[in-house]
Amino acid sequence: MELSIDRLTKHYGSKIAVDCVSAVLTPGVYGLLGANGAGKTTLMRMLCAILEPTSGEVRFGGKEVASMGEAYRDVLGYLPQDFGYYPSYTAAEFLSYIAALKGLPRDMAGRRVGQMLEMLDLAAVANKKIKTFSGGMKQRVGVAQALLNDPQVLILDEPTAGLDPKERVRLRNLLSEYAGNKIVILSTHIVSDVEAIADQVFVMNAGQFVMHGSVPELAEQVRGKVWELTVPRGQAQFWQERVTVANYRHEGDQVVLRIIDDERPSDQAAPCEPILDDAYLYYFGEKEA
Amino acid sequence: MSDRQLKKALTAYFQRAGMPTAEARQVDRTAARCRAVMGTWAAGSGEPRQSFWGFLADVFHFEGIPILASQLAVLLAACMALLSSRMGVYEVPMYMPLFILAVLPAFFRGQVYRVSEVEAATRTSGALLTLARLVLAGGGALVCLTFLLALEVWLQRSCENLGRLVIYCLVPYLTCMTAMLAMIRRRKKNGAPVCAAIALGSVLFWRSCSFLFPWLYEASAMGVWVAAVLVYSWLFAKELVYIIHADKEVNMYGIVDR
Repeated sequence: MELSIDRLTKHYGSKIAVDCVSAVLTPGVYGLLGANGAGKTTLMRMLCAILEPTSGEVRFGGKEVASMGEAYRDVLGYLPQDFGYYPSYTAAEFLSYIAALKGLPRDMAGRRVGQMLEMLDLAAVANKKIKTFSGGMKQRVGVAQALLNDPQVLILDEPTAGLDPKERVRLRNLLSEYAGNKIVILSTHIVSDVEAIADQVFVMNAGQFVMHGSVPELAEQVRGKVWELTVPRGQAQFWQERVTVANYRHEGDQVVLRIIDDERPSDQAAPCEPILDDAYLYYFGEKEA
Repeated sequence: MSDRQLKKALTAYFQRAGMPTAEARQVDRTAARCRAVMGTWAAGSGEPRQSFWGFLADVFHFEGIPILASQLAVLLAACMALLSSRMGVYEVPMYMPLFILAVLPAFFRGQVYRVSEVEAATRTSGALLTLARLVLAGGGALVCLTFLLALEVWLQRSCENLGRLVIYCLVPYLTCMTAMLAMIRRRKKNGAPVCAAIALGSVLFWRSCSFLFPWLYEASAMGVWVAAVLVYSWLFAKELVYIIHADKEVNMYGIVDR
């Protein structure tokens, strides 16, 4: 099973949203990382075949997805960034409706809906209207509808948006477990989500993949460029104006700065173990990130 | 030591000792449950899928009742208006756009509530879903139109004008239906309000027609009506053919606006 992206491009008038990106995805979890407006959502929509590319193509198992029709949709699960729902529907009704659109026979749909509700801890509120749910519960309904047809390709656009830390951990664990022999692509601008579960990370900027690799590989790229420096509180502003400060922690009267810079910023600065956040900040700087 | 502090100290101790905490055990249990559930599912592409008639029954289950209920409400209002005011054959056509107005929420609800993107990524194409809704809305409108005509015939105690009445009703209905399908095809964000404005505008237009252009309802003007029916039937058929082709050709793209 392979999902290949071949020179995929999307223009909106003179604006280039996705600029000739290529990749080959095999089963695993892929994180798509990038700032808002980097082109993640446009790319995801093209991967779902709900947005026509200006040029290039997406292939699943060697076939172009645009010509696969129902066969591709049968193996696809999608959670859009702006997940909407019908306010008059309960969670169970909404999932049953999506199951009908996914073509699941009624008895199978009933079983599946029950299982998904239980799996995502929504069984107790199955008969409550979605409009009464918290943001996190709505997001879980979104994930449940994406998983209903047991998709081989699962595409989630900002799945952790609006979730509290506990729900984020729960969702990450669920996705890791689910990924097994499937292709899971999740886009986010929250580095820690990707860091926790992605086997491979694609970093997008201005419609292009600017970095690609496993989390340790990407972090390794900034080894020797991450420093920890303890300074008096009054000097913190001075350093923030001069270098990229990834983190800022108070320790008594002093502050500990995590600095990302090519050279040791001060004799007192000690090198530290890089993480994905550092790589992201190194390439994009504080403003863009 | 408070319970909270004790819990924190024990959690820290277990973590140091490499023992699973309650939260970690809960995560393991969830993962095991997920594994069990997923294990019972067949591979996605090998699963059975619903036939077209099964799909239509599902659409009726979810959308049919609201569509038919709203059309029934319009029918009741139209019947009451017909019984209370006697304008004759001029009156029935002006109610026809209201049957389109009544089904607009069903046709545009995906766009209004931002569900269309999720719907578009399912195996049901947007075209097929529109066709299924069209079958339900068209069937309902046919029943309502038959009832309205029967009422008008009963009020007039004559079948003399029945043919003319059918033609008078078809023109506004087909106009609004064609406009609605064209708006759905164009997938503009303001599709629903534009269609509602067209339907309400049509009601006013057909109402004022009887005063402004009374000659339109004379027997000698039947040619104009027949020509209008032919033109709008052709436009309606074109929209219908477009939808059927879009479904048959698995036209997957262009579902989302941006």
